[in-house]
Amino acid sequence: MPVVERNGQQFHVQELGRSGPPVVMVHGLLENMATMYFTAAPRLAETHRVLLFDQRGHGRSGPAATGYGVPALAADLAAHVEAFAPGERVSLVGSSLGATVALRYAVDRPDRVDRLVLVDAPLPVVADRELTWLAGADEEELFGILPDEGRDYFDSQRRRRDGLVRHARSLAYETSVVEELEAAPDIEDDELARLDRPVLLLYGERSIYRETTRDRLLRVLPNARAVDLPAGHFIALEAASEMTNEILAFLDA
Amino acid sequence: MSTVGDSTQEILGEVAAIIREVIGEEWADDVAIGMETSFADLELESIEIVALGEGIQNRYPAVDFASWLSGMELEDVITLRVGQVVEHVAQCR
Repeated sequence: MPVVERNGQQFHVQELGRSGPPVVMVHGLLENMATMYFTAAPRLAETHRVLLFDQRGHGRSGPAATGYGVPALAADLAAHVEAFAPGERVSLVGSSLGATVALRYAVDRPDRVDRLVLVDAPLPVVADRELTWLAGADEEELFGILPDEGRDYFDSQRRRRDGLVRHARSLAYETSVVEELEAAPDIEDDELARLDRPVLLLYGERSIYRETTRDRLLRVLPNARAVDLPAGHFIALEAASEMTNEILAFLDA
Repeated sequence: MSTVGDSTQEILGEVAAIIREVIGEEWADDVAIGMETSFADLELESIEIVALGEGIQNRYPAVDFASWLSGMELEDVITLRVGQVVEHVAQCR
């Protein structure tokens, strides 16, 4: 298993594709690189070099007690970008919290970014509501929020269900993720307004973030367009092929 | 009764060993893994399926596991049979 050290932390990484412009994909809270490995990444890898990594404390990357604020996660992303494509502009594809992290990085380092795809990015992030609830929820509530496609994955799968519950609780109770995300939940409008890179906003028609974050980003970012997909928040589960097609068309434009 | 050929049997042994390593828990050392065993039977988590792909590509560099999965729906990936993986590896070799 490819494991690298960045920012003093062990990260599980995977590179797909042999040639083409570089793309880095960033997954969301409680997810891992499988979100993109099972969906958009292999298609992108036909014409791009793709880097996938598990964020700290997720997937097969090492555990971490701290470093979960959006700026800290963006610093992890910066280290991955630097190692994967030194001196090059990269396109970024982020999902959920990973999209917020990618946006933070792009705002800080527009010189390193070619194009940016945000898949149902929450902004500001609402970690207190989400993770605290997830950690405290009983199992039926927890799995009740998933779309049918997600429930298929967990149905009658004791080990998969236990894995998610254990992960939610260990993040919520054994790390500073909630405090850190709450300490810097937003990116100011004047910072967003300076990001001149092309941005694609993919939001679920039924996502709670569509009427808040999407509309705000569309208004404030100077070079953004939005496409709504037939999904809620979990676009990679509910509208995987539509998501992949939109990402490919945008990155190849 | 159908039997699987030597090379299939050999690949099955290798794939089963990679699966046990990926799971990394004691019960996996004793669980029977055959051609009909599915990822759902083993309750493989999504990231374990990714790690299995890495293990298979290390062992069989001609296999592009991610591309192979990309033609499938998620529900097909999470319920794949070990035999499908073995047959795919045999075709790529």
